[in-house]
Amino acid sequence: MTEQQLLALVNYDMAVWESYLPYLAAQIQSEVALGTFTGLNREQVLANITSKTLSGSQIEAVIATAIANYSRAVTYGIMQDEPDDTLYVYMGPLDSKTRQECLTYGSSEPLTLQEINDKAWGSSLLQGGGHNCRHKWQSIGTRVAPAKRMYNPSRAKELLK
Amino acid sequence: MDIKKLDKSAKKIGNMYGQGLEEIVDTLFKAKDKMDSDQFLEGLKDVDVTSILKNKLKNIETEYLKAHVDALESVQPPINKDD
Repeated sequence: MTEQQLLALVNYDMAVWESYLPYLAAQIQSEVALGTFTGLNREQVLANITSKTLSGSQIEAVIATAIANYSRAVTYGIMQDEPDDTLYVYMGPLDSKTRQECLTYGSSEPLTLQEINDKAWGSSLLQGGGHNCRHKWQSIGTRVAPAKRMYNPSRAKELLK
Repeated sequence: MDIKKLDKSAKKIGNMYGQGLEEIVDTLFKAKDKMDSDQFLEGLKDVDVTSILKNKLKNIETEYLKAHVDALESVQPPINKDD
């Protein structure tokens, strides 16, 4: 993955944020005007604005999702350059908030990119389990690589007395 | 992915946003209180709220960019590699 590609992804995320501001501005003007006509107080106007746009906690979720998607996109870019037999595991917190699909991916054996796609789990590579997901596929090397070091039955037989 | 760092950044941005929004509405209400309603409404349509938002929420852009850099730095190389 090139530096230019990494930067492009960041710029697109920033553009999404910037494009939200004119909409937010228009809603603020509209609700402040409406509040002036109808005699609403500051808190009521603020509540009306956040009911028609995004609240602080909603922004928090949007940002967390965008950053996690960015992380997954970078990892996916790296995956494209890795050998076909590279294995991936689905990593992230396991708690009461974890979605069923994330638990399904997470309980799987290590898989190659092809095997992930064959299971029709391809969307999880870039989006995880969806909105606000905290999981991603992570490379753990290849099937033969750890086996050579940690598991070598023929060598064990040779050494067996 | 460093979940703790990601959650912290997202929370910080959410707070900045909420606070910024409150301050902007506050400012507009203070202006409203200083003039009569018609005068305020006439002037309100000419206020460039988008620019005010951009300035007020500039720190969000900075934090958002930083969160991307943090996410990039926490992308791990393959582990268990036998080399």
